Amino acid sequence: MSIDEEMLRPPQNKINPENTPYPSKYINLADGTKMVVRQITRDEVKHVIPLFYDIVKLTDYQYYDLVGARILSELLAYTNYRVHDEYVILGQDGNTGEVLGLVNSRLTVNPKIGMSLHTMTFKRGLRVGAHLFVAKMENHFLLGNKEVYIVAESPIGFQRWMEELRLEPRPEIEHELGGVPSYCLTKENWEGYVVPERLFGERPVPENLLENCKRKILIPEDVIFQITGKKKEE
Amino acid sequence: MAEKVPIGYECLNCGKIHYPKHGRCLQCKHQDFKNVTLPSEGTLITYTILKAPPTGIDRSSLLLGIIDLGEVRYTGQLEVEPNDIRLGMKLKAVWKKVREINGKPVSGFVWFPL
Amino acid sequence: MREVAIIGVGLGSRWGRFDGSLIEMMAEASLDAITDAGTDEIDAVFVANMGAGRINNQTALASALIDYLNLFPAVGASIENGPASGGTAARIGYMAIASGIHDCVMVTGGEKMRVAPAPVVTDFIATMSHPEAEYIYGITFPSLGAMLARIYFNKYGVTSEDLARIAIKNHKNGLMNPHAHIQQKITMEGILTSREAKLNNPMIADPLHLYDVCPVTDGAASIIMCSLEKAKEISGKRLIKFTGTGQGMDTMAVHEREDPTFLKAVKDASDQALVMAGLKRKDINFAEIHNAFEILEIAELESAGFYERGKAHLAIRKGETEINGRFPVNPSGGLKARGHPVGATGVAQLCELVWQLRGEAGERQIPNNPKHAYAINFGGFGNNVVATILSKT
Repeated sequence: MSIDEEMLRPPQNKINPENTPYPSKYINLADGTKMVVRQITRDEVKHVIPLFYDIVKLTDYQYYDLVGARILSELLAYTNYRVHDEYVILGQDGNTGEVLGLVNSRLTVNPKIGMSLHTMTFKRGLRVGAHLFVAKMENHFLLGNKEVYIVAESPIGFQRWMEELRLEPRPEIEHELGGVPSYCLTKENWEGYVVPERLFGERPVPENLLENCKRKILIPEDVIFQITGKKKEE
Repeated sequence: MAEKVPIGYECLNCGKIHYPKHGRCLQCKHQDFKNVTLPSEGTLITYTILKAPPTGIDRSSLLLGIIDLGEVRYTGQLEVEPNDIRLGMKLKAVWKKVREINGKPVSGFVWFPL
Repeated sequence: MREVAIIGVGLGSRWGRFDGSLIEMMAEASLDAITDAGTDEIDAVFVANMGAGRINNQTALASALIDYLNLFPAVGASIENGPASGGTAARIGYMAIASGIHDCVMVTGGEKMRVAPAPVVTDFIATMSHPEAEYIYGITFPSLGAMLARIYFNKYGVTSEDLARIAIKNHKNGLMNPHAHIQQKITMEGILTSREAKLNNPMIADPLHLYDVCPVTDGAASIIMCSLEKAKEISGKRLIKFTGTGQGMDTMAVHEREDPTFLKAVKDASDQALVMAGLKRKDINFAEIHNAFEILEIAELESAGFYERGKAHLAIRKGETEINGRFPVNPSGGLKARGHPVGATGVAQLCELVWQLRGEAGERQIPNNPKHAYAINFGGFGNNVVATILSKT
């Protein structure tokens, strides 16, 4: 039997068959940056992938190597059609197109349940990750998920998501990131706490900002310095 | 046992009332004091809602304030609905556990709306 | 009494997180000051630090620093006076030289604070408060700053926007200070007026937001002082004279002060320093102010007498305290942007005064050749305060 490419691909997206992208928005950061938050296409994901070849080398620093490697594999799976209904959202500086952070997720364990994958910030100290994580959750609920399973790989992630967003423990659910016991963001918590306290951003994004971001996905020049505050060792 | 009420320290020489306790009077440097009962009701003169309480306080948010009792003031915890807090409100002291220090419970005055 | 000059200053590498030990960090700043002074012939070393015994498990730091840097036969002592340790150690160094006991003194301050989680650091700072009347209730220093701010808001019409304006100015100055821990621009929209400011700049202790409060920082600073006479012989630099020092005290429990918005210790320390220097307030060209919380920049400027009570925020609205303003405040970025490693702060303030008076402050240089400079180092919540005046010779 000849192996057809179609046999290797996952089935069509269950709850978003037309792959309607997350509605773009922009957020004012503390330093005045207008951060454009938008879902990127498979072709655009290819531009971001090289960043993670650098990040996986960042050993012994807040699990960046582990998280970087997992994101890299998820993005490769996405561009090669080897993952079911993943989406990737970028935060970009609306003036320069510079990538400030990335989040990704899978829409459906089943149509009611989403599976959160990763959040990584390249410019720290501006709450980029906090804003992007909530945007990723917004997409889950916009597309009809009732709850989202979440795990953290680093202490800072645990503090940011499990504690600050008051997630419910669901120890009986093995998260697909390593089978670790899950936490859950329910629709009730989303509407009651996260939306009023944590969900920000304006729509529509001014045309020029969106154009800047689409024209150029600018990879941060020295991502290791941005993350750790230290220059790369030669 | 009688309910705990706020206590001050009156200088036996000049009559100045202190809280907290001092070894010598802040006004005349005299060393002898007697305990005096202070009013357990007072007026809130400032407050904060602390979002980052220190170790030993098992809450994500803590109300603290300074209460004017007339002759002296007290610093303490408040138990008031955050939306109801206003400067000048009348509060009443209740003795209860306020914190754990080195794993041991510590009691003090907590101020409730009158 | 002999006249005293500062001949060397240094802050080591950029403040923030230091990977080595506390002593290595203090050594780095000390060696910078020694290089700047051009001499290592030091008779005495005073080390300013508040909490190494508690958070770094090390005490007797002056002995350790002298040993590590082989400053023998210098003698030394460690000075602990809360967040005013640095200013206090410099004052003691001044006394040692003025009295004729020592000729050349090094004062190094340092604090390695990022070893412990935030609640532990907050609690360590809170041990300065009154044990029975404040500490047991969970009083922290941000909460004291917040309660002061609330009275100020109510009494004088100061607003959150005023505090944000000060933070924006200090961050702007910090961006021009290569030593500053925080080198980040902030805007009014980003931290206060946009909806998302609620997440960007959350409330820490209502009404103080994150950006109204100094960060937790590792850092060290060092100065080398000697008699003016000796300085003239050995120093090739523009000499900066230690012209005034003062120290004031107040009650430990904040609630015992008749008017909690009036920082009596700041006034007393400032009065003494000015009298000693033979100067009036209008002679002072700029100041480094101990702004652990931005409300303190206002309260200290007023209590020190540079502005009338309740008026400093109006001058700040007009831009008077900017680097190019009439009376620049915290050209270094202050505690807000440079950071606040408690034992180092008072010494770092004097480093900034020296750089500015020498005309060596680079991009953040105050124009028009400033001659007299003032620093306030604020200990406890204002119960122990040191003021220093330095002047160009």
